Amino acid sequence: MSARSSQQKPRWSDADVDSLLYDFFRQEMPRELQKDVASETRSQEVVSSASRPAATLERPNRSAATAGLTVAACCLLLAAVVFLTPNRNPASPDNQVVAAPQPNERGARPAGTNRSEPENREAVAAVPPRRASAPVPGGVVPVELQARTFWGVTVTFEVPSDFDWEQWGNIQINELPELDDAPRGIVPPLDDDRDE
Amino acid sequence: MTTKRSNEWPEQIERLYREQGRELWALFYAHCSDAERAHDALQEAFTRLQEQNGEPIRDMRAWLLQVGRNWLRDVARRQKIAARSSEHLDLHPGEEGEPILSLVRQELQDEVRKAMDQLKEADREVLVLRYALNWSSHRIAETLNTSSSAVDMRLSRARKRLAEILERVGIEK
Repeated sequence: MSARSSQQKPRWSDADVDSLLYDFFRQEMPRELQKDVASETRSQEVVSSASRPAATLERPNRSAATAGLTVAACCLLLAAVVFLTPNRNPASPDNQVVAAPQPNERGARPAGTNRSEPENREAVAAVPPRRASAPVPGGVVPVELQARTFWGVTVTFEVPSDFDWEQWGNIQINELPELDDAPRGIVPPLDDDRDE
Repeated sequence: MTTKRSNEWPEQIERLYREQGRELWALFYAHCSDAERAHDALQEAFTRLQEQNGEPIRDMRAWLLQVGRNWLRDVARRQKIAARSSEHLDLHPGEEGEPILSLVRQELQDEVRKAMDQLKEADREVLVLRYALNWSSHRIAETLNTSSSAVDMRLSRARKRLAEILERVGIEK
């Protein structure tokens, strides 16, 4: 009985072959052709038309997991920014977009609003402006959204020349049409300085 | 890409070598399954490029690939490709601290090299692009003018064949 056949030997799995081949080619490739990740990435952008798309330098079976983790981290960060913002007003009604200089007497502010949020004034032009419409008493005011450091977006209004800035207060945003990533909560006006 | 003046060649060639050397080496390797010879083919192709003296070349990569492959064919014609033995050039001398480990590793390297040599060129091609260059299936597919799923299938088949060869010659994992 030929008991010494190869049945005792462990078989090579795909993972074993993977590992073997990565090691093998690392040894096999001439040193002068081995490059660091940064230069590889740069060169891949210049390489021939046959190899146009950006290629990951990680092992392919790892890249999907890495991308998934990145997306999850971004979602968590966004959720944290939205829900941990100090000006957020949890009592506000849903499904309503209000951008409202309230029609009260000159100099008064809408109740429950806070105008001074200096850290929110840093506008960053990282994202092109987007527009949405917000219903206000007496009509619809077009709203322009721009990137901003703190919230991710800045809300500015296109207003008539006789707009009364003294009456301008914070606005409450609960939902903006066609803008899934809009922040929720209270967004202060961009031009607080006009109060003086 | 078209060349302009011959006095621009050295820099251009150097840059091109840095940009495309790895990929071309991998493709030459797939052709001959010999790292040293693939490297020689790469050097030869770039030397010939320098000798072109600014003659315009429409597709530099294709030209280099063709020159290198032709050179490999010429060499193969002139001399028989003997099975590689332990005197194979050690490309990374002194990497292992332990001599025994180094020896074992070198032996394994030789055996895998022989196993690779037994594969078909198409199988070697996908393996070298994936494992030497870390390319995704998508990128390999673009280079080989095929689909990603075909590349995955070919990769799977090539791994399986390699594993069979390794088991057959008694290489244990």
